[in-house]
Amino acid sequence: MTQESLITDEIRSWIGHETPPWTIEASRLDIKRFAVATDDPNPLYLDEEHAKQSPYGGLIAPPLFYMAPLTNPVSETELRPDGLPYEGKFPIPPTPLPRLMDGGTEIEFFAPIRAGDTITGRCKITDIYQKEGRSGPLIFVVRESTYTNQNGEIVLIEKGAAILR
Amino acid sequence: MARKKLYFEDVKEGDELPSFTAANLTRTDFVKYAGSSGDFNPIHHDQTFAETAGNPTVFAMGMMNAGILSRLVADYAGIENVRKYRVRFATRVWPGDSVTCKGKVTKKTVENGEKIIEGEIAALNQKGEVAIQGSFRAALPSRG
Repeated sequence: MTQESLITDEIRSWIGHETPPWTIEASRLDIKRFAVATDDPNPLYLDEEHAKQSPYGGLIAPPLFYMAPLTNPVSETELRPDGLPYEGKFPIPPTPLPRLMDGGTEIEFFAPIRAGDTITGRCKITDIYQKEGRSGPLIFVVRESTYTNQNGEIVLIEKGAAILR
Repeated sequence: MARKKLYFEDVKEGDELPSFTAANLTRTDFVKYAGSSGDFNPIHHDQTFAETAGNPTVFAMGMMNAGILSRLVADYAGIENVRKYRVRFATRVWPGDSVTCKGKVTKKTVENGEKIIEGEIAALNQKGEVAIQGSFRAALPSRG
C-alpha cells in the first residue's frame, strides 16, 4: 500500500461514532405497501385473516422491511450529488470523495417485526479504511445497526458498509 | 398460498431453491419502492437527475432488488426460520430488466442442537449478469 491515505485523524475519530437512536412504528399499511413494492405475495404480510391463524397471530413484516422506515426523507436541496441525504440514518464522515455506494449488507434475524411494533434503531461506525479501486481510492465506512422492539428484544442486527469514491 | 413446511430431513446439500423471475421492472416499480421505503433519492426516478449524475437513465434501488431476492429464502425456508441474509451488489438493474432469483443449499449441519442449512443466492438480469450475490442461513424444524 503505497497510496496516500485520505483518512485523516478527524475521519478516523468517527470510528465508534453512534447516531442518536430513532424510533418508528411498523404499521399494517407500511408492511403491506412494502410487501407489494417488493413483489412479495406472502399472506403473512398481506392477509390479516391468514396471519391471525398463523403462529404469529397477526401480520409480520418481510425480512428487509426494517429498511423501509429507516430513511429519513429530506428536501431535494439537501441531497449530495449522488442523490443521498448528507445526514441519513447511517453516519458518514465528511471526506473528499463525493459519491457513495452501498457496499452490501448482512442481516442477522432474532425476532419478527410485527404490525404495531415500535422499533428503535441504533447505528454505530465500527471501522473506516481505505482501498485502491479501479477508478481511484475508496473509503469504506463499516457500520453496525441494532433494532429492538418495544419489549427490548433485539429483532435484528445489520452490518454493512458504505463505500465512498 | 400457504407454503409447504420445509423440514431439515427434506434438504440435501446441492438442492436448488425454487427460482422465480420478477419480469420487466419499470420506473413505476422503482416509484412504488420509493414510496414504501422512503428512499426518495431522485437518481432512481428522475431522468434529468440520473443523467446529471452520470447515468444513462434511472436504475433500481439495490435494497429493492435485495427485497425481491429475500422472498426466495423466506418462501423456501419459512420466514420464521431465516437467521441470516447477506447481499452484495454487483451490476445495476435498469428499467425493462427482468430479475431472476435463484439459489442452492451449500451446507447442512447441526450446531448446538440446531438444524442449520446454509446456501448461496443470486439475482440475475435477463443477460445472466449478477445484480446481487448473497447467502443465507436458516434453522429448520426436524421431523424427528
